[in-house]
Amino acid sequence: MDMLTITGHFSGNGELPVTIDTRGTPLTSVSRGTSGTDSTFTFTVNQEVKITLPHREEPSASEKKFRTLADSWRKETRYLSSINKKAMHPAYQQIIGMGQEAIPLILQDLKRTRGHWLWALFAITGEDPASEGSTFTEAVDAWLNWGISH
Amino acid sequence: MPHLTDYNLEEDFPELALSGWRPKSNPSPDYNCIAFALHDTKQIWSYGAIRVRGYYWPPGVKEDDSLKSWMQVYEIHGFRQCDNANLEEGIEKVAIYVKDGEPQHVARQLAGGTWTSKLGLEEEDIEHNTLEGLEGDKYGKVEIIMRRVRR
Repeated sequence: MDMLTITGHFSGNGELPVTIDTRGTPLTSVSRGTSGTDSTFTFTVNQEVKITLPHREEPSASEKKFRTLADSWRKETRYLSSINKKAMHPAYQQIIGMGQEAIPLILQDLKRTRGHWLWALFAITGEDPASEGSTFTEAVDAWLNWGISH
Repeated sequence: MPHLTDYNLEEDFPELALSGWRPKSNPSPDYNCIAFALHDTKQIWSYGAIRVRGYYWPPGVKEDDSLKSWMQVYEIHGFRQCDNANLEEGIEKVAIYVKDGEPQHVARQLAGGTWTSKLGLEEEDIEHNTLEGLEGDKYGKVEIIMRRVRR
């Protein structure tokens, strides 16, 4: 049987968007890559498999806009060490400008990446659920809990 | 350790390919180069124009991203400016990269003479053989070297 390589992206909750039934035989190669914005998977298959594609809803216009801006922000600020400079990037400022509609999208991304969204959340909501003196990890947890309670 | 990120460091920092480097950690959003140069991998040392919690900036240091303020961070931890990046026994050195007059990055010298850096706020730690490896359009050039007795 010819080799077939399948490449795609994990869904927002970190799960595979496809179901692969290998009928008990392990896949020959599975790798998971990570990046600032997406998680990808690659399978190399040299056996008969059954692949079930998920039913996916079309992302909303807000979601598409957020994703484009977030990708651009990550790529263009990748090497910056200052949160001040990173948050002043035009794409990040545009996300802040999206206001309330950006909050669930930011929280979703924060949960997945634990990235630098605290400034944006603070700027949009005017709240800061983290304790004084929190480390970044603790502050991210505080925001994720805030998201659950809101 | 495999390079887990999706970007090509050697494209972004062409000198790295010539001088040699190794990845030393997975990407992490929990600390930055200023902290890492002071052996802190628990906090992000960065001033913010708005006071959102989760970031640390040492008390007494002016809240800006000026070279003077970055140097002061190291001064209060015992570093003093010196004139070379040569390896000296018992001495720890840090190097500040500057572009257009603004500090961009800090690398720390390891006991064997190579350098180590945390890249950005969300990327990985690397070990690089030379300071020149990270010079270029991203971080500019090393303009300041500081030293203290190795602890």
